Amino acid sequence: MAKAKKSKSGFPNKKGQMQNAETIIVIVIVTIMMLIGLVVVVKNRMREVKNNSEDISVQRAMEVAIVASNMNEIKCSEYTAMIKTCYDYHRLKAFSSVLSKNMHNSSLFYYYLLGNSKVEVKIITGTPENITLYNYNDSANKSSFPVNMPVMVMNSMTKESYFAVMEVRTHS
Amino acid sequence: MKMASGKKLTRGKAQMETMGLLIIVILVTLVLFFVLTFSLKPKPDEDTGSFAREQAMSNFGPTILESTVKCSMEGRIRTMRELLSDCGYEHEIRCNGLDSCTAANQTIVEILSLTLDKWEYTYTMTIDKGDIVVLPIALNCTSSKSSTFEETPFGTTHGPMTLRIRTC
Repeated sequence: MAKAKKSKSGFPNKKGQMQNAETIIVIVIVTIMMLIGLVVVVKNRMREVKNNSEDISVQRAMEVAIVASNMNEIKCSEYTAMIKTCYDYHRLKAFSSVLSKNMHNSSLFYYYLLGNSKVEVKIITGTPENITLYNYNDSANKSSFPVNMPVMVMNSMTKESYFAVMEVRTHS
Repeated sequence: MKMASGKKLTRGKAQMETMGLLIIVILVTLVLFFVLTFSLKPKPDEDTGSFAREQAMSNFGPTILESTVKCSMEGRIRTMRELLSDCGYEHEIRCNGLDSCTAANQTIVEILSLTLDKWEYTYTMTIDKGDIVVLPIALNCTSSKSSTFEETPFGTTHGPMTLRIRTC
């Protein structure tokens, strides 16, 4: 360890001490500035990554929603010419039942179309009801941004048409 | 000799300090540059989100018009289109003891509370007959700037009507 310079009077050199303190202050200030810069950069990067992953999730949900809404298995037979999004209530129920019981290995077949997602039709008017058409999730992500698409559900027996929402969530 | 070397030493020290100051100034400028670059960077485009919203809103009007209401215990079913058409012109239909305007308004408000309100959209929705507002269902948009604007024209026996939804 270098001994502190002493003046003629035997006390440590004040000028030297001041210069040392100056150097230390400069180093501290520079370090703080670097840290602030680092924090700003990291925060921005994190925000960008989060935005990107949300965008990808919404895009995937939109793709699934388009595929699901165009499945002829659940569409109305009469009204398709009038409204592009009309689903038959009884077909929805049957579809949901077949998939939930995995009849004819149907889950595997629809997995290729809909992947890791949950497709639900929520009937709002008439008697409110939620019909889960498809639900498969083998990823750790349990929640995701939902994509909602208003659709019409028609009961071909009673000739009633309900306002419903197709909610699609993807997990990745 | 001693004096000359002392002067040289002092000048060297002064130069070093100036260099130090210069380095600090450069570092401060760099940090400021980075901070400004990141803070002034335009926000990522909201194309995906707005596309999802547009998709949702484009189906909204036609789906509302085609949905039905059970108007009596005997099971008389009326479409929203019928109720709104009657509300705009004839005022003859009674639905569950209510006039067509009130019945239509009630059903649409119920739908909106479970959809757009739940999704936290700010919106304005009106049923118009030409330029006349027949049924002002929701007038939540205060600014003129729209995020989406959808018009669903529908014909009645008396003339055209339009369902307008604007999100902001």
